[in-house]
Amino acid sequence: MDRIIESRGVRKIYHSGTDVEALKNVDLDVMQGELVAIVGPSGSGKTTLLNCLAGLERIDEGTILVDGKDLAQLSDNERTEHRARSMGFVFQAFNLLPVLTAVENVEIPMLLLESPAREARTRALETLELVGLADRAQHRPDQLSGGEQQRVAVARALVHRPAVVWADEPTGNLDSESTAAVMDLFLKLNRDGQTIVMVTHNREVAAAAHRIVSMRDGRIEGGSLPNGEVVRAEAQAP
Amino acid sequence: MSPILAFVLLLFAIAYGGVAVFAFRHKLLGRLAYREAIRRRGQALLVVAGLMIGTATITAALVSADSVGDSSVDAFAYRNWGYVDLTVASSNRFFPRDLAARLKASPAVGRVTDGVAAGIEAYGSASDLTTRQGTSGVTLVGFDPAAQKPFGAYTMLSGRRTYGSDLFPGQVLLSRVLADKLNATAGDRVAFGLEGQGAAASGGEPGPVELRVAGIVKLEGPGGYTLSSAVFVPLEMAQRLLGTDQINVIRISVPGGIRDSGPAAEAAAPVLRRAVRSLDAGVRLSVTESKAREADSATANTVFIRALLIGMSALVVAAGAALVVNLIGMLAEERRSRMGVLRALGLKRRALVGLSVIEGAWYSLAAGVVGVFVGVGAGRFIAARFGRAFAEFAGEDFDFEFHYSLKPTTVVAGFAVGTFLTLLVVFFAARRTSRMTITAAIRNLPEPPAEKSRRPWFRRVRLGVFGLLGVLGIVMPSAFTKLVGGIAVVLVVGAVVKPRMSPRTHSTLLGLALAGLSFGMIAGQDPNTDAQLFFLVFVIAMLTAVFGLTILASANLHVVETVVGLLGKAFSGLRAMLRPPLAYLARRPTRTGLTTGVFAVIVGMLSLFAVFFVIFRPSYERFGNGYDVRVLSTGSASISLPSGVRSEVARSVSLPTLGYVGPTDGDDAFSDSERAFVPLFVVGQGVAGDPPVRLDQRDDEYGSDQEVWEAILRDPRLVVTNFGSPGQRFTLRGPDGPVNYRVIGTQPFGLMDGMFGTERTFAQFRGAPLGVSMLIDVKDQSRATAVARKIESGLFGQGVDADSVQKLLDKADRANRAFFSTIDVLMRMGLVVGILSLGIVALRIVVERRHVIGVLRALGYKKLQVLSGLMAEATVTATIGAVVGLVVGVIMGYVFYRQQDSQPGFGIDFASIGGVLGLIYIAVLLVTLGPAWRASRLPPAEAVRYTE
Repeated sequence: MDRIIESRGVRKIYHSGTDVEALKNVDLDVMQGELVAIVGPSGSGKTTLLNCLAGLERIDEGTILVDGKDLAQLSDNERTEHRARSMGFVFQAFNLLPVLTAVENVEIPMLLLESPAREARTRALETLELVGLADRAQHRPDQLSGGEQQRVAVARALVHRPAVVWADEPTGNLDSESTAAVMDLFLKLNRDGQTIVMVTHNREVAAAAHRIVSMRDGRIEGGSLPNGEVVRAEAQAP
Repeated sequence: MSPILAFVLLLFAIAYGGVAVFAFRHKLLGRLAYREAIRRRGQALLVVAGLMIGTATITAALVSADSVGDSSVDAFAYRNWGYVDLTVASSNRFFPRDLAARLKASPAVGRVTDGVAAGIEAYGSASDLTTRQGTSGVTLVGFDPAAQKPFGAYTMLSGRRTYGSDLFPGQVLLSRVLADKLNATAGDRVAFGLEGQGAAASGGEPGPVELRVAGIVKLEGPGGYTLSSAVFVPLEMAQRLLGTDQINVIRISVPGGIRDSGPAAEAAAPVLRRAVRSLDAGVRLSVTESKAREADSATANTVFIRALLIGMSALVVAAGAALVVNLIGMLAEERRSRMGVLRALGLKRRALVGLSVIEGAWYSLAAGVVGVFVGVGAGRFIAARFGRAFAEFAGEDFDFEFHYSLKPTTVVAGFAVGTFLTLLVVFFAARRTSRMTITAAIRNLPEPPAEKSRRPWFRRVRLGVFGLLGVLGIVMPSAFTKLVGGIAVVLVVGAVVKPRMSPRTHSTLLGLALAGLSFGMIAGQDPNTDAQLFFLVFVIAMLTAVFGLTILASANLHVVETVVGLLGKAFSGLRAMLRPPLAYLARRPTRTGLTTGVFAVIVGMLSLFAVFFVIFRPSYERFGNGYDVRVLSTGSASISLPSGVRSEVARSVSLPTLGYVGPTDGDDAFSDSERAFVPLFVVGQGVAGDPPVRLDQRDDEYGSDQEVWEAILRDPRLVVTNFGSPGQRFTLRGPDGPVNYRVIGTQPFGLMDGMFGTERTFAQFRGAPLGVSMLIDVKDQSRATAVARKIESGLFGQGVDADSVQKLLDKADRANRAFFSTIDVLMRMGLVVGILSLGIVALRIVVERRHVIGVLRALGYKKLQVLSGLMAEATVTATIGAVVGLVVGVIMGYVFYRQQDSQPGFGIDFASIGGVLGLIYIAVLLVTLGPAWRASRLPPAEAVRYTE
């Protein structure tokens, strides 16, 4: 398997009154086709790590390579373009645009990649079908249940075939039934080769991952494999 | 204090008193509100600036309306009549002079009057034999020097004062207006043409008299009498000029001076009437409270302008209300999380509304103070424009001085109305923004969809009652209730059918229905009949049409994206950039409407004026009807063109013209006057085949101009005028009482101003001064001005006025433009509201859509795309407003144009509207650039921060 994410010595400091070191010398590799869960208590830095890996935030030290590109060396525009091409996002609060229909929301990444209108619409509908929502394509977010909204968000994250899908607490706002449906979807996508990195509090959700990365106080303190084997912090690669 | 002001103050006291009591009883809320108000000074300043628009606009409208009203009364009643308060006359007939002396001798009359003087008033032309200048339309005022003292002294430009007794025989005084026209100075020889007056009444013969100008008198006191071209002549000399030993007016002055004699005149009138009845005069004499009636007429005539100003300001206030809603929305969004916490801690929704209203009251009061100052300044500016417009209309014939009036009651009323309305809007906006899901508000998450009503039957009952009231309004006779009822019915039907169709179809049909209803109602209104009702209907129709077309445009915005999509792959990026802003505009029609509506109303009004500039600008061909020069003579019954001119004339038409001077009464807003000069043009049998003028409007009964003229020939009660509208009544006072006419056609203002009828039509006015009006078609049109000059100089002894039609056309056009420009200031205040609204909306977006912007950035929107998207949203908003406004303005203009059924050309003066639109776009880009820049700089991680 190829290494699709490679981070070395990542440090992130928030300068708000007093400096807070949110990430302390983090090394993490993710292989293509892997489903990785990042876990940890509140304030441990897991979302900050995901933001940095996804290029949403700049790091203060270290290197992050995603799909072959060193994010630290890219300008804001280049990182944005890289996100548009190579990454998909699923958020806890779904973050669909409330004024767009499901299919219009899903189309957005295609439009950003300047796909022709017809192709964008076709692909968006196919992806909605993939997540089981073809019949809800013309509904707006406020006409969908939480689980359905999250599946639309998943479709939006997948429609342009990204190298990595980042998911930040994707089941945090869902009931157990919807959680199961979304996780089934993630597992199915992952079986088809989709790399997924997710942050979660939910132990059951994390248990479905190939690998669990555990964080505390801005450091990766260790992890475990689904078979229960404990992985040391300095060797966070399969 | 007027009842309206008292009512306004009561409303103000109830509203702000209520807020004060609430704040006193809920001290914590009062403290919180105060602290919120002063917490962010920049924001507070912005809110105050936005909230002051209403007060400023109302104050500006009231101050300028006061100025127009007071100036009109001052000119037409006080300066025009001077110390003359009442008159005794027998229509235009002459009567024995001793009647004046007998009246004066009555002890009862002596007790209530300061002065009683015999007088003469005649109408004709004047010529200065020294400067060889002549003019028509001159009033000869014969005064009795022996009785002049109570009427004041004539003050000459040199400073010399005279009651007339020190004038040498043959010496006369000229009003400044006449002297300017004749280029006259003291010592000039002058002559007057007064054909057909006086001598016929008394059987005498006018004697040849050489007259000299003793001096030019200032337009004050008795010298201001008529405020136009007048010659003041001692009574004996006036009688000699007219060949009579009689008089035709007794002037009466009562205590109180020029401006404060109203009560004394009112008290004197019945005493004088009794005294006149006891004179046994042998002629029918009537006593008229001339000055008071002129003051009433002047006030009534300005009702139209007051209604226009208040109507236009109502549009700006409506725009200001939309801005207030946006401002309150902005504040609520910024504080949503804090408010959510307060709600969670146990604050009731009612208290939350109270908190917002207390804070809003602070802002409103501060804004009221600022608004009054801004309004007073703007009012002064508008008043100055009205001054210019009045000067253009009056031209050189009438000395209209415009005064700026600032009354404390007006300022108080502007403040009270403005702050009350602002607080009312704040209250309703606060009620709306107080609806929140507490958990979502605390976490600053988007508001979940509203739950369905638990009482659907209540909604159905409400709709039913609303619909019933609407139907009731429609069947009532008033245009106002018909419009409001129609709107109610459309809204109820819209609500009923809403679930059965797509939102887009629903909005489109609802918008069309509302706009169609509004245009239909305006088409049936006549602004000249009842100005206040017309402007009320107009304002509501305008707002409704704008609202209708705005929701129609917003609902169909996807067309823009479809068009961009059709442009191909190269424009895919543009499509991505446009999708969120277009979707926000299309799917939040209320909010979009609040902002676009502001622009649409203002652009609509400006577009309407741009149409008026064209449709009320008469074309040379229609205005002149093929004639190039107009010649007027009021002193002689015929004009014999100089020999040097005859060869240049292709054709001409002469109309005998009677000069009616006296009271007028009509349906038209500007028709009432106590001493109006109305030329009566007498047409002959050939008029139907070769009419002297073309008509602007015809009564619906007549299919062509020819039919109108044929009706004039048949029926002596029908006339064509240059004022009012077809169908209106107009009354002159003849020797035997009122003479009623019906207007069946109107012709352009500025060429042949007066009434057209036959000899039979004007039979009662045969004794009126006789003149002639001539229209000349010059062979070489470019020579029209030269020919006019030649005629004036050749016939200066007859005192004729000759003007090229082009000059008259230009004058009429200037007057029109000057009038419309008066509203410009209010509309520009409205534009400021619109631009501020967009700035506020842009700020709201930065606050409200931080989350969405973060998501878009995470998904791959570049900073420039975010910035461009927000700028595009503002631009599209302004464009919807501009397009809707343009459409509404042009359609309304077309409706007015259709009412002018004989006007040929419809169009829009793009020069006047283009500049404004350009300014709008520049301003919009400037006010949104800052917030859009801030939004584009939001870190994308904002999107995920809420999950931490």
